[in-house]
Amino acid sequence: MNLQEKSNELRKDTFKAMYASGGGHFGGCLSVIEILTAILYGVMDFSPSSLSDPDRDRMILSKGHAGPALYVALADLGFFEKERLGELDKNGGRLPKHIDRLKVPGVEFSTGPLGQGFSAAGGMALALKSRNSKASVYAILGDGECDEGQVWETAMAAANFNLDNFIAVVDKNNCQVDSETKDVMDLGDFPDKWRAFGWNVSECDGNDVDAVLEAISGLVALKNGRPSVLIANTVKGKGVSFMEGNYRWHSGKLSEEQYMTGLKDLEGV
Amino acid sequence: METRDTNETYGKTLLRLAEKYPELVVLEADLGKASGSVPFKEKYPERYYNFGVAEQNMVGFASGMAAVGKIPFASTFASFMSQRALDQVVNSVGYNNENVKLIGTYAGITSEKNGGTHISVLDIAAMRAIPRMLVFDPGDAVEYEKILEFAAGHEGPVYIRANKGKFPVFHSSDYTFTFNKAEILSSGSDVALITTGLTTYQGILAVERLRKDGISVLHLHMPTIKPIDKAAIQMAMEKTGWIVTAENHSVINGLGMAVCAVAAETVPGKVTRLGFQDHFGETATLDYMMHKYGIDSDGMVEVIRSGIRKKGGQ
Repeated sequence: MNLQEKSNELRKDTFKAMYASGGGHFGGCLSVIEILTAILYGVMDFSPSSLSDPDRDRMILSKGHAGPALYVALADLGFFEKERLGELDKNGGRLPKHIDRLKVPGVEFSTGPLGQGFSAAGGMALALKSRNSKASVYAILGDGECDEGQVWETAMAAANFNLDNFIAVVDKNNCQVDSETKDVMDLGDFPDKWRAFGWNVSECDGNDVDAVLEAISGLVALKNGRPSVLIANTVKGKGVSFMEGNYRWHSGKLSEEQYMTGLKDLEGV
Repeated sequence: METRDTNETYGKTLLRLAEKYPELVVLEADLGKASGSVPFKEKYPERYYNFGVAEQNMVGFASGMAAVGKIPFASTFASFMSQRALDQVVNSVGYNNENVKLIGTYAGITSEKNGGTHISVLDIAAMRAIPRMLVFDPGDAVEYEKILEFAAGHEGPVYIRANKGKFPVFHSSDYTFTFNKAEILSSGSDVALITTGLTTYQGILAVERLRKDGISVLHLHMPTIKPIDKAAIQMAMEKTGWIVTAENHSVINGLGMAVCAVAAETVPGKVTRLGFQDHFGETATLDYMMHKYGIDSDGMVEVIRSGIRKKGGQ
């Protein structure tokens, strides 16, 4: 199975798990799939046994509401049994919507309040670099998340500390809860903002897994004393016809009919 | 009585702990001069990180550093730590259960002339409500040092208040700090006085003055505010029926309320809470505010004298 086929499978399983759980953040879970696939399957050597290695690479999903997409990947990678996906968002379950490091094996940091995972990821990169570890830290952010001041505090600090082991990937799906990002809080010249903060910047089609992998690999190889960001241009609700590009699907619930339509869309890929 | 500077104590203690704990790192948000960590910076520049005026980010980075095995000691003014960075303290540190030590400097009215925006009125309240967080308000420099040492060895989130300035040292250097244990500074039966941090020395003075009036005070110093020594509070209430608390903090959800809760759940009785009576601080000296807010020895003596008079039916 190539990485795009893996992405397609993860996307379908994410959609199914979220429908079974009663709904959730479909838009951002479906847009981020290729980014997760590229990092977890392509870039990192990520497996349950790698967790005991203090010098392992880390992936921090700062947009913690995309938990279901990560859980599907973690189950696929053997961090827990696939049956556990049935516990998503369930009372007393072990898979809370927003990722939880104390409850889910493979989750390196609990996130949800936006911006915080990015700082924590920066702290990991700083600590790893301070002991000359070869490990890299990957942080996945939403574009709406970049409204948070903490994101830019982290951006400034990461450049200040020369964290060239720190790679951010922004899932730029151009939507957030209330509307499209340009209508809620315009990010302006987004790549230039990062450049101005001292980051290496790359851009790609964020729903083309090979393009994401190539871009991240290129950034990892730079090692020029600067942190790097990949602006991954994605489609909110990718793969489901009635969700694509529609901010209203940031989160929601599906009717059975909608579920069947979505499944058909995803199976047709 | 000898006085010691809180600031110097932090610097010296960090230097000592740095040798014992190679993973200990120090984080500042442009207030290293205030916390006193500069000597650590000079000796261990590679273990010292300044985040600029960005408290939220400092706490966030601290949690990430802890997640890969460091023991971060992060400090900023108590007001900023508990207000500006509160969401990061709650989620990145508390919810993630990261091994981060938070030092809230210039606690309460020791911020003095920095004034109302800088005087922390609710840091104990906020920190106390965070699951997993331990909260300490040391009585003097000796105890501050012991609590810092305890924090370094404890796995999990810790918040420690640090007062600005030089304060009398009433503990001897061989004092043993016991986690979650009240220290009995004087035994008595007419009233119990429970103090913490800055107010404990004032309490010692008050007890001495009251003794001359023939009033015997059971004085407990409570350096560990969360968890809290329930048995000591219960004992104090059983013995005296009236507890007066005093703190360098709002009377809402600080030491006094913690004492009230324990009393209500165990041996109900009267509790009088001295502290900031639901108001902000102001630009003024420490002595002025301690007196005005009734948390110096005068305030304690007055409240206790008048309460005892009423108790005696006079």
